[in-house]
Amino acid sequence: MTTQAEFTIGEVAAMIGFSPHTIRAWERRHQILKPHRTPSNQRRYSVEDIELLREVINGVVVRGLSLKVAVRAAHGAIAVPSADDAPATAARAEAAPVLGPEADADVPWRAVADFLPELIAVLDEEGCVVDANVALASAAGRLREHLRGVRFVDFADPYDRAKAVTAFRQPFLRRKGWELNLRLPGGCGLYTFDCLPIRFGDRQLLIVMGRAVSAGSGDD
Amino acid sequence: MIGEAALVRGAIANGTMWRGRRPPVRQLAQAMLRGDTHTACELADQFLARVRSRLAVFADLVQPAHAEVGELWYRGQICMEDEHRAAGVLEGVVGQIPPTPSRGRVAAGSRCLLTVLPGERHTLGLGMFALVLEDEGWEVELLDHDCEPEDVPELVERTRPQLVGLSAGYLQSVQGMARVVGAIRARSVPVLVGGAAFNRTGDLWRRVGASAYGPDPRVGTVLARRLARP
Repeated sequence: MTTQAEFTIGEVAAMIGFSPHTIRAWERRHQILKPHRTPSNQRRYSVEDIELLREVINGVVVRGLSLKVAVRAAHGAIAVPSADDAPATAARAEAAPVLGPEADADVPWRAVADFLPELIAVLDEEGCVVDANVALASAAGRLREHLRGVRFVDFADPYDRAKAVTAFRQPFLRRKGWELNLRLPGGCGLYTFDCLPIRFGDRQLLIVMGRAVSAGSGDD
Repeated sequence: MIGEAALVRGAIANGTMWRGRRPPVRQLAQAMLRGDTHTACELADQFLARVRSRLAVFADLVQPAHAEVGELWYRGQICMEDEHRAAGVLEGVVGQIPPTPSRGRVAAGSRCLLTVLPGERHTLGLGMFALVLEDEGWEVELLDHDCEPEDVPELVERTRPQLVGLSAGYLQSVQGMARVVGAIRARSVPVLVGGAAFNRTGDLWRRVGASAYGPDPRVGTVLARRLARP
């Protein structure tokens, strides 16, 4: 938050909207954090301490967690799934129809697409994967079947998510050389995409094909 | 305790904290998505009656609700029109919340310049920040989003504010922002950044060379005071 990374308890209280008394009580009761002490024994908080406090408060205020659970989640001791996220993704995965009734290697386009090194995906109107080639499944570290219903924006680097959203903004547009940073287990880096809208029955779909411009390790 | 309080004299604005029931963030987000300005304003008014601080309404209710709507958009669960409708409702809510001057005000004559880079349409957060800074006693100059990047350092040179605030919802070019920040800081004026682009990418503020980053108006006001200290 600032390069001068030492804050008094009063400043922290003003930043998070709780009193210094409350912060001290949380430290005592929940061992929420352990601030650095000055030689005169005054508390000094780091940027990380404030971010941890903000995460706890966000858990309590926005996600409706109890303070105890929010503290443990902020420390990474437990994972609290988002109530909104999982059912929507699961429902999409079930609802997402495949291009052909077979949904397997007999689908003719895959015979070509699976030989190509480019990442290829077919997206529906909401930007969810309907079908993908082996290169994309391999880069995403998942089986092709498990990619269905996944949002295309989830492959994008967090910084480029807003840009990724524009790919499937209606109406679908034909684009060439559209750059996007991806964050995939099998290859992070900059990709250049071509997008091609197609009609399949009464559905409007979008084919996206990405070539690595500067792919890095998937571990970072 | 006395020493700590003295160190931050004026930094804690009494009455900016909420107690009891949680702020109705989800309800406000739902009202925004329905385009229900009336309910949204009512929720904000009721919360204001509890906390008696515009800063607390913005930081604890409006911004989390806005972030919630933004998150739904990123997840692809709502479309662009929903997001625009929600932002329109929020503009109405922000505009009707009355000023609540802070008791611990900054020194008279404290001036700051707030702006976005050209093409940036996400100015609601910056507008809220301007209002809470005014509540704290700052003289705020809020620049238009059509202001050219090269004009900002020149304006800083002319007006010599104690602080410049830059906001970005989505950064087209990190280098572009870094150039502006560098030019302002070269004139010994600190730069505080904020906005969704910085909230999404934790270390972006360091990459653009900013003096500090305020993830919400509450943190922003404390950092503004600290940065403006001689």
